[in-house]
Amino acid sequence: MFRPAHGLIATTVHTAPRAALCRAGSVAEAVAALAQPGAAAVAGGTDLCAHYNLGEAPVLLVCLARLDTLRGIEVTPGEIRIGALVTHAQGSRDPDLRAVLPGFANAWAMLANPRVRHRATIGGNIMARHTRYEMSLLLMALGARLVFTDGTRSPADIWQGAPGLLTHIAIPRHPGQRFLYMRGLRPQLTLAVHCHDGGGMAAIATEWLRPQPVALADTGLETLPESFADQVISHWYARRAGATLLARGMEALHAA
Amino acid sequence: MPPETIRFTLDGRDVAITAEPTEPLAHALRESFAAQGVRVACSRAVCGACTVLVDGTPAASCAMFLWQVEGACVETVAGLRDHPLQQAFARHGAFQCGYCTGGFLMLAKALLAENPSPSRAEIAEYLSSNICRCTGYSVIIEAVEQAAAGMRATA
Repeated sequence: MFRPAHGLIATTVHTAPRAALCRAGSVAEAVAALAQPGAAAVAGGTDLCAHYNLGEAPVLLVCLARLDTLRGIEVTPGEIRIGALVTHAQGSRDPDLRAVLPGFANAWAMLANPRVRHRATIGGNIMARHTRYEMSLLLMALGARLVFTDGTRSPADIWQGAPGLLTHIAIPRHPGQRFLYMRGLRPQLTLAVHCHDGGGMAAIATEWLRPQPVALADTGLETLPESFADQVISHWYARRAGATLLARGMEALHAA
Repeated sequence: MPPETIRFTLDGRDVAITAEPTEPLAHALRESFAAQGVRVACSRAVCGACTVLVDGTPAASCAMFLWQVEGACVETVAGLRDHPLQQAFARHGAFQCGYCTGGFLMLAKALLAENPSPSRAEIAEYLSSNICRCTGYSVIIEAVEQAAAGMRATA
């Protein structure tokens, strides 16, 4: 295999310094290992390998694969509880999830390609903190809580850090709950709509901008922050296109 | 920490290799097991050239570590000799330079395991994540359709 010298083209996993491996046998062991400098969690590993190409080089790989308590989906009358190690393929096909919130399962099935869908986890998608990864947008619209070993965060709060290891995601259930994700304009703009008998929420994002919540009543996206703009889309375009997607989404959910 | 010895099944045979924790699966397959049908291009799970099956499901071997397949069953294109998919690709000329072909074959195998009767649209959608820069996709899709029909007929 052609292996360019270090720094000749780009950093890769081949040019990275040696790393140690910790196969965590418990959540506590994983948390302790991840507290060490230069440690990185490995669930599916698909995102971490890409990070090497961006110049990152963890010195301790913490394998989470043995943490079976972080797997599985449980649907209760009050919430949907999704383990952080549930893969995209498992989650999007879960019959219990499909029964109660098919729109979200359909949206989940849109993420990534088949190779990644079978390895990558919902926890990894969130904790990678890439704006182009879409799960935090979906969960923001659903009003989900991210449950860590040392606290709970909303999807909007993950960009500032995390209180420990993500263990599961809790999505509240509501009567008349429906969900739709529109990504036809991706990467410029995507929008998720969640409505139920008592209200709901939407969320908007782009490939490069962090998700922003949108109230369903804000049909013109009047409250979208001015900072929601970049070299690719203007704030004006985001509001106009976002308002159109929101109207279409609401119409589709009410017709369903 | 010393390198670990990783044991797994590769195309039906038990193998073991001692490697550093950062060793990518694709690199180990090519360099230590001469699995040259596993191609590396993008190195970030996007192009599909490195696709293998791990316990029956598709995986980007460039974007996973060797130690992640400990105890698993790994299949590469080398294990598809005389498979209906291989024969259909040959009949349809579903390759040109061939660099992407191993990845297409393995992803197609995964598709037919999940869905033995995929529609043309389903084949196109499933294979859309694999990139071919010379053949074009029509003949690849037709080859998968024909292989699926043949496999159903002999099932």
